[in-house]
Amino acid sequence: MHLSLRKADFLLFFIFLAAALISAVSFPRSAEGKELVRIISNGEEYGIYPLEKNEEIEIVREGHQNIVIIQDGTVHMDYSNCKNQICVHTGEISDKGETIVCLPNYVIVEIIGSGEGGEDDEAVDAIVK
Amino acid sequence: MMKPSTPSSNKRNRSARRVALTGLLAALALIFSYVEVLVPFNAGVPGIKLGLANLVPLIILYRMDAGYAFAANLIRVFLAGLLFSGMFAALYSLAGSITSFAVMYLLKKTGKFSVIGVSTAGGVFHNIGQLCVAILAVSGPQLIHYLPVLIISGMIAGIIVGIGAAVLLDRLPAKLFRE
Repeated sequence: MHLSLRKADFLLFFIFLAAALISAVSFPRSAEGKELVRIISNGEEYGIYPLEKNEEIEIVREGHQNIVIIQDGTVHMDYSNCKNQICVHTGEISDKGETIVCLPNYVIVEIIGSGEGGEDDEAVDAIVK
Repeated sequence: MMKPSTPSSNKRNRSARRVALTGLLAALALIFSYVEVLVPFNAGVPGIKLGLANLVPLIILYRMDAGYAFAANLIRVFLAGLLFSGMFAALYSLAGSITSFAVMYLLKKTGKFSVIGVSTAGGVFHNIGQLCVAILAVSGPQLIHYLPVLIISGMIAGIIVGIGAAVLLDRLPAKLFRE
């Protein structure tokens, strides 16, 4: 007698499925794995930029000049007025955790995640707190 | 010869019965929590589980009353948190349980849903309650991306538990539930 479905049950299932679908469309999962480019200059955060948006960022500090270009999901150091040019030769980075470092100019470019991994880290921190 | 029962002793007797019975039901629910800890059910996504322990409040809701179901469930969440998952996780569990229970109670009260429907709504709202706490307490609004996964997984778990509850409600003898 209990092992049966009623009309209202189907309505309920339909509502949940619709809610799941709507929320899946309005909050796409791809955004969850969104990666950011963080630029650190002289130990201080210079700026955070979304990896998917093409952008040219110029970092100028006390005669040091670097130009970082974000293009099609990759980041590279386009120009640096430093002596060794290691940062320019690092080439393109595109994965979370990768970095470009320009030691003479104290510039660090790194890709960080704002997605699941980051959230998990935060959750762990919150528990530790 | 039975002692003639005065109204006050009668009342005391009844509340003692209620306390004892609630404890018994909470213990039963705790066993289900324990079984779930023993048998890991890994769906590949963290935080998703079957919610076997929801069988108990569900059946109590149908066969006894909401007061027993709510009290037993609350005690179960607290004890399971203490014993298995830690108090921080119990906070999530508590939010999920209360949301889920409120929804199940209301749906049951309308009389329009089968136990499977009630259980499904319970499963979904358990996850929604937990998600709300997670967003408020820890991870921030970006966690809402998890919502569709949680709705679907809550539905699946709720349907499975609901079928279990339906079978049990059909088979368990009524005299088991005499107060």
